[in-house]
Amino acid sequence: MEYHVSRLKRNNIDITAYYPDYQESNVIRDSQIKNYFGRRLSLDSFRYLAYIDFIEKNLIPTTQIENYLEIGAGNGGFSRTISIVTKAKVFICDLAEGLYLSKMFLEASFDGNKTVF
Amino acid sequence: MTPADLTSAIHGIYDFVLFTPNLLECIQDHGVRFQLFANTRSFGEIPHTTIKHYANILCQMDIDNMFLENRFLNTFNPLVKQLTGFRSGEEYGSTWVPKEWDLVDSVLEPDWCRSPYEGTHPRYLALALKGISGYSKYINNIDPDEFILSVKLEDWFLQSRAYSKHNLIDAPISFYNQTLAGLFDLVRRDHNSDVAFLMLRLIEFHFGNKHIEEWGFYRSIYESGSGKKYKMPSIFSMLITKVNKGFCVIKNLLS
Repeated sequence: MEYHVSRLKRNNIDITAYYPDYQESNVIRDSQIKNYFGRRLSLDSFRYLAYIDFIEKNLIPTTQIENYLEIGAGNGGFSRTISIVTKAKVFICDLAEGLYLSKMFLEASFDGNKTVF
Repeated sequence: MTPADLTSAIHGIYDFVLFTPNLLECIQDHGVRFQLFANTRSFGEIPHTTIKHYANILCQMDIDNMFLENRFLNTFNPLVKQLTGFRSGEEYGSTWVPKEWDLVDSVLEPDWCRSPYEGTHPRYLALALKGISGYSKYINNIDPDEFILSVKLEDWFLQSRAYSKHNLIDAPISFYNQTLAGLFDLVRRDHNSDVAFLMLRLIEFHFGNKHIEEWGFYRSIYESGSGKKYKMPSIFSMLITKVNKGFCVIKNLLS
């Protein structure tokens, strides 16, 4: 994770102001987490936020995303990130087993504040 | 979930709508416009026929932007594959991306998926694409013939068969990022056999006789377009190269 912190530093990004509303899900084990200025971040957190940077740079300001579609979302980690950063309605298409995993993860990650169909 | 459930989910107040692939086609019937579509680390690892099916549906959907991050130019062990069937038919990496989408940016081995503390990890290609035609900075701004000519003048191409085999596999392939981006996009869009030939030569130059997942894809594009068989360097020419290299080493030692 220190590599990613240095990567952000090299790009003049202040980690305290880097998507301040985002932190890793409570479902993720503490052994996978590092605490940066009161925020829980994992290796996946840095990757997901880098995806958002790439999208912002090349495609669209995230504030303009109303509907987001992901096929093969795994545990739903990036979908969760998109939902936090953009407030978009998230559509996940996956095999039933994958959807079960996403559903469990997303429901457990948002303390009931977000609804999953 | 039934199509009726999906309809109510689309129009209802939900943050997440989860559905199985059989309902993907139903989405477009509701006129849902997606400002962003993403697929990371999965389309590059499923059978080509399945991706083709998804790609056909996605091309008909109302999607403005696509973000993809999937495998590209990874090595594999043919013996393990033959014996276990592991990832058989799943060696198309990022080559499946439909020609209808315009490439805005591509990064091979982006810094977010590298780490100086990891020895080996799959090589990924991140792609930003637009669903609106006329956006590509590679295709629209570069004439394919000019591009092919310029690639043929690059040092790696001029000397590609003068190097011994697989002595560059540990070197960063990012040296050729720009060339790879152009080759990748031109093959994707036009299935141009001349460009596929250059891609094969670049893969051969960098990876030597290692097996690369997308090799078969590019070879089939080249062979079906040109009607010729792609010729690997002969054992004799490789031997000559090795002998030459040996002479150089001895000469250097003596001097």
